[in-house]
Amino acid sequence: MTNSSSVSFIVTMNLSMLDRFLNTFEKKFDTGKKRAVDLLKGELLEKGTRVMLEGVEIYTKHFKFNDGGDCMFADSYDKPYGEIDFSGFEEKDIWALIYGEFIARNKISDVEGFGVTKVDTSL
Amino acid sequence: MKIRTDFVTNSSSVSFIITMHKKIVEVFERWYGDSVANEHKTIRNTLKDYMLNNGTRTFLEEEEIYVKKIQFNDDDGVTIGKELLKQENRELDFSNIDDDELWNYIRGEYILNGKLGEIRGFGITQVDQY
Repeated sequence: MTNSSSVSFIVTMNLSMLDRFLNTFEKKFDTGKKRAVDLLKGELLEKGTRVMLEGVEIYTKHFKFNDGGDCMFADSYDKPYGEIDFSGFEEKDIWALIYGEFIARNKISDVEGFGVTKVDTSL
Repeated sequence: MKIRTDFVTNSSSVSFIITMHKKIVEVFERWYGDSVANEHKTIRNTLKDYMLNNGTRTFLEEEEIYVKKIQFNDDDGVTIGKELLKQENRELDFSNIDDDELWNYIRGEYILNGKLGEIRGFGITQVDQY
């Protein structure tokens, strides 16, 4: 038995802000952040909803996952996060990092152009 | 050659979209009651009122969300962050804070530094900088 529960978030993305940020800072990303941002950006562009909010174009997508088994966090790995090369990881393993570290822990908000809003009542 | 002689600053205008799921904010408000820090309560209540009064109510991914675009100059004396307070060796008293100082702190620490994401039900997305 685990203490994990289902959690829900809406991820928001402003493409022009994100692309400007990536143009300047992507080369400084670690391999985990690089692959996480690439995958999440692609997912919102392909499967997200494009809306105008207060005159600004925003892509939105609802993500629902289990905060236990579906997630990996920077401190979940055997090795220190900074020493891991995520370049060869399978996509499903990068999604675990996206769910845990980047969405549930809101690390994605460090990347200008992305935002996260929690829409469930789990602690 | 034209030489610019007026004062030039490094300030930039920044824009953010604030999102708020009212139901989630209120659920955590009830759960936490008075157990959260005065800072958290003050910021949450101030932003909740602001979003209800000034935001646009819409549906995103079938969830009722309030959205509001906010824009300011990040070096125009309208932002205060924890780092600046530390440098100035002072603390804010949230039980007795005036509106201007409170909003400077919200802009600096919660919007620009992204701390708003720590208050459940709120989100922040930067959408412009120039």
